[in-house]
Amino acid sequence: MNRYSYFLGCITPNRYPGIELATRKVLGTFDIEILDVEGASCCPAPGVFGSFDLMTWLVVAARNICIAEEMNSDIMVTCNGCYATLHEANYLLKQDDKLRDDVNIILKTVNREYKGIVKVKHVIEVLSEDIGYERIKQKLSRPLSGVKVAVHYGCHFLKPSEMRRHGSSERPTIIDDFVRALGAQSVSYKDKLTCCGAGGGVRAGSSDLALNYTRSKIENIVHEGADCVVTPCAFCHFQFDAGQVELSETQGKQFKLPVVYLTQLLGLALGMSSEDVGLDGNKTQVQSLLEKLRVQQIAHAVKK
Amino acid sequence: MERSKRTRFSSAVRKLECLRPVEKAYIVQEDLLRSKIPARDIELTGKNETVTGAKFDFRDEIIEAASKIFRRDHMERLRTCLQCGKCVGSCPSGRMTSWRIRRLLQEATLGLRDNVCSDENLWDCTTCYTCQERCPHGIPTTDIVRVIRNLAVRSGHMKEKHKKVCQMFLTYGHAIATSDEIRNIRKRYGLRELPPTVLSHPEQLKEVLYILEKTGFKIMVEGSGK
Repeated sequence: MNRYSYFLGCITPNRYPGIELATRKVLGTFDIEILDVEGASCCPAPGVFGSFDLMTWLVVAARNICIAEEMNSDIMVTCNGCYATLHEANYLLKQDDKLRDDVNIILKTVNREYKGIVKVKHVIEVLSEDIGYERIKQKLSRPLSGVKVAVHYGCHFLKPSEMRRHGSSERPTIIDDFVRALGAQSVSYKDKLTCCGAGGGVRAGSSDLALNYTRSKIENIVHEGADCVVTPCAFCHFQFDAGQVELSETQGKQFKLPVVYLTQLLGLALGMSSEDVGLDGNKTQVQSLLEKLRVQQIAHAVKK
Repeated sequence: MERSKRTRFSSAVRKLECLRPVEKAYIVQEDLLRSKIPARDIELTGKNETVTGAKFDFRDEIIEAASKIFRRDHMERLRTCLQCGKCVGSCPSGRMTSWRIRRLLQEATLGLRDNVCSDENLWDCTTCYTCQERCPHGIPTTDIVRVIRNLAVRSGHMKEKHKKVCQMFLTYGHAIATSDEIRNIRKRYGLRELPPTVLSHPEQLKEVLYILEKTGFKIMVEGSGK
């Protein structure tokens, strides 16, 4: 049985606990054991704290990795920001002895030591590699046939590709394949690989600019008639979901695009209710998606 | 440096008052290359304003700072920028703002330290890494943006809004705090009311805050900002 230290970060537990709930439930059904990273902090955010002081960013990241090392289990994340930070810190510290010594000098003052013995994985990697899409397909009790899903990859899961090694950052397929495995259709849309607008301290520092990104993405998604956008990142999820409320307040733009996290979408396909996967915690409506699922299910039953 | 040379540079620049600082710096730098004077000895002062805050070893400073964290051979690639513009053509923020990643690399190369560090547009980059992915010379452009931002912060340029995020980190060990509403939702979901992070472990929070003090982060945040 595989087990992972689930590194929560900030947004998952403190804004979208539904993502945490869905992830724990869904992975539980596939016998993946989830351990808590007791005492973890902010990862820290790569484009925010990394932009202020890279050494601080690296030491705090190393401390977070240390906790998982003490538990002797690999790390799993549900946020691209956490992924960027922990994956990059792990990568940098494993390849550079001098840097590791510098970091360990500071960590020693709090009785910790970075050793470089665990891996950092994104939940989509756990779904695709540890479980496998074929096994997921066999377990679906409510395939999402007829549902049009717009996949948003986010930036830091794929890039820098030299370090991430998930293949081409210009033509990724891993999440599209996941969506198709669930029986849904992955729609293509303009600027599919563009940022949600939140990263790099832009959401905090210039929220108008962040919202312009988000508006443009949502318009492109809605244009293709997608039933929802699926995100692999709690921060992108936040930006798309809360962003729609902010767009209506600041620009008078009304959108009703349901925002669904990877594991929430999987939970729905496994037959869980929207409350089971914490979709009731979203600020933007998800009823239109649930209604579509219901109609498709009835149509499916009639056909049989 | 002898007076004659200094005069020559300042006059050469003064003739070109209509140009942007970056363009003036180009001309001055070409002069410097021809005259083989060590760049850092040049004092660029004209009667009117000329090139303000030019610091010809700024690029070295960036590479030095970056190499403390990232691979030096990757960071040295900054020297190979040809201004081809693939970066700026790929930049989504460039479509919506006056942020220009190519200009940043140009100004950094020319030593316009003050221009670069005080430019508000520097904070319009979402660090999406598209430019870094596509740079034909493999210049780690996005990482360089982060390094330059580090230098800008240390020179006192930090937005108030960013300072607030830092204060959150310095208080809760998280960039976002919890709330009563979220605690209730967590409870309803059957999750621990406070997540298993520093939020439920005050002694571990102290440890994180100690690190933030030890690395100089706390002092840096309190000392910078406009």
